[in-house]
Amino acid sequence: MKPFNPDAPPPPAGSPSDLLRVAVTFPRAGGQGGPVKFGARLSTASAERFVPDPLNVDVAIGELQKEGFAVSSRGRLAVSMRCTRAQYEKVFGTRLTVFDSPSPESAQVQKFFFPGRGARAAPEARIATLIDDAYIQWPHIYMAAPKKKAKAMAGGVGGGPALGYHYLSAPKGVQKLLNVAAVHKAKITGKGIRVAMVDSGFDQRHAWFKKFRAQSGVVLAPGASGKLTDTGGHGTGESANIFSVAPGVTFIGVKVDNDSAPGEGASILEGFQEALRHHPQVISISMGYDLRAAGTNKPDNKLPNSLVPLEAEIQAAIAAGIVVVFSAGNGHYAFPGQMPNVISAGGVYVDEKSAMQASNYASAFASAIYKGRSVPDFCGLVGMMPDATYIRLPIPKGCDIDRDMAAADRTKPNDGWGVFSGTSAAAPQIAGLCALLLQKNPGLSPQEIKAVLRRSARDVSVGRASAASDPKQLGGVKASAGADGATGAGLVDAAAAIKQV
Amino acid sequence: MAWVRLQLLMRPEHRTQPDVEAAAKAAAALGMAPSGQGQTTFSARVSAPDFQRLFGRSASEAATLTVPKELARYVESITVAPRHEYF
Repeated sequence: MKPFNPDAPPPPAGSPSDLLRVAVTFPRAGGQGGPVKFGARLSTASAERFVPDPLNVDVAIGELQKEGFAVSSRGRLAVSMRCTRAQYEKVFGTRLTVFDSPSPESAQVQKFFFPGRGARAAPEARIATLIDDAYIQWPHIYMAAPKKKAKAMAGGVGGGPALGYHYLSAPKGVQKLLNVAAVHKAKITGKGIRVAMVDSGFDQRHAWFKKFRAQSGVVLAPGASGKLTDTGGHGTGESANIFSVAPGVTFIGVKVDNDSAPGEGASILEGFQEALRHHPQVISISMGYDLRAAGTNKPDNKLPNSLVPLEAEIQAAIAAGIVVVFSAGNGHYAFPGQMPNVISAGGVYVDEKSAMQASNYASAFASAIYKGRSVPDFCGLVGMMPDATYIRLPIPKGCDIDRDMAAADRTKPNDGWGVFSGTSAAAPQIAGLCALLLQKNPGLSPQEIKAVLRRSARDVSVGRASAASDPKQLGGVKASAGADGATGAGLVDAAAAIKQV
Repeated sequence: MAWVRLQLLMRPEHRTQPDVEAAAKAAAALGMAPSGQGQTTFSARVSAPDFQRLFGRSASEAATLTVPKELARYVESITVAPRHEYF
């Protein structure tokens, strides 16, 4: 199957792709039956017991590769592979027939190959002993391509109506400044990488999202309500940053807000725990806490007990190989953005002449809790004071941001667009970039990804970070040549980073 | 009903999935409603009256609470989840 391309025409009806997506499962460690042949549904409690012996998986993959199968992604329980119709029929001793896709109006393809009803299956003996099962994957129907190409946006960097000031559109403006286009041309779009975003909600009914055919789903954290709604608009808008950078990701939106009873919504810890249930490779969170010593402009030097559980859970997730990205804060002494092992996303502003400067809206500070930790690590695109009106993002019509930001961003209060980009925008941009790196090299550890992004970032030597996160009251940490406190290593660069993995 | 959001941190030696589940079960028996779990923690919600009954005080975000003896084997600390901000 071709990688995601929003401009590609749909395949002609009656000619299913000859390239098959196959999910392969394996016997349990110890040789017992695997998850497909298990006679009941797996629960989160039992799934761990079906993790196969990785050595046996390697042997099975090797045998299938000899037959021409190629690995497209590898999970703990299953491996996704690609092969041709002929290769599948040979290895599994069966005949495939053409089926119509369910929900063809919103399906990724109109027809696909699958074993016919009652078709015989006689897999080669050496393969049969190594695997549990191998299922051809049906085409997904999430986020189908619109029948008409989305109306081209005009104006602004990368398109958009004139608003009387310099701003970026998503996806094109963001893609241009983060140097993403060349990576997408190389067919790296984050495909197959699971990215969870924990935020207010994700109302993806906006026409903007329909152009992305990536897999996307929303789950509710405890106490949250309304899978399809986002009365605040924050999560919906910020998620567009992920799709701008990595349109092929498998997106898992974890909603924490309760639309009708705000106090009942989920905590960040509950949202994080819910995200873990969906086995993400990357978690992006544009929320946090301002740890400011009471009555001062100085950062707290002790983590409150109430945040120790979240700290422990994040550490465990990173130790398990999950890349965790947090916003550095908008003048906040942000936690968890100051934890040493998370990726802390700060802000750089690029003006209409392509000149870069530290965003004076974004936090930059030395943590007083984690000695030696300087926030941020590096930066995404963030606006400037007073309102950070920089990236035009799709939001639910009439949501809080649509109404509250209308005067500042010069959009209409019920038009479904908002121009807003604090470090909430930087975190999902960088999370998307992490997904691109993981598609290119799934074996990268969180530490390796951070190192690559740091090495490949563009140095920013002008400007100051937010004055509100400067305990010395000198107007914000100053950027200078080389790595500095204001922007860390500088603005991330997708093309430069991808060359290093 | 107003709920208090609790965060329960497991003792280091009990940070395993079976023990997290056992602790959540013990918490449920005390009247807490487990709402999520991870590798080192679990979350639970409790009504204001049950909070008062369990901890002998009204909910306060700054407070570190006394771990009930039924949970002490597994749980290192219990705190009330603070309110977060969007950046």
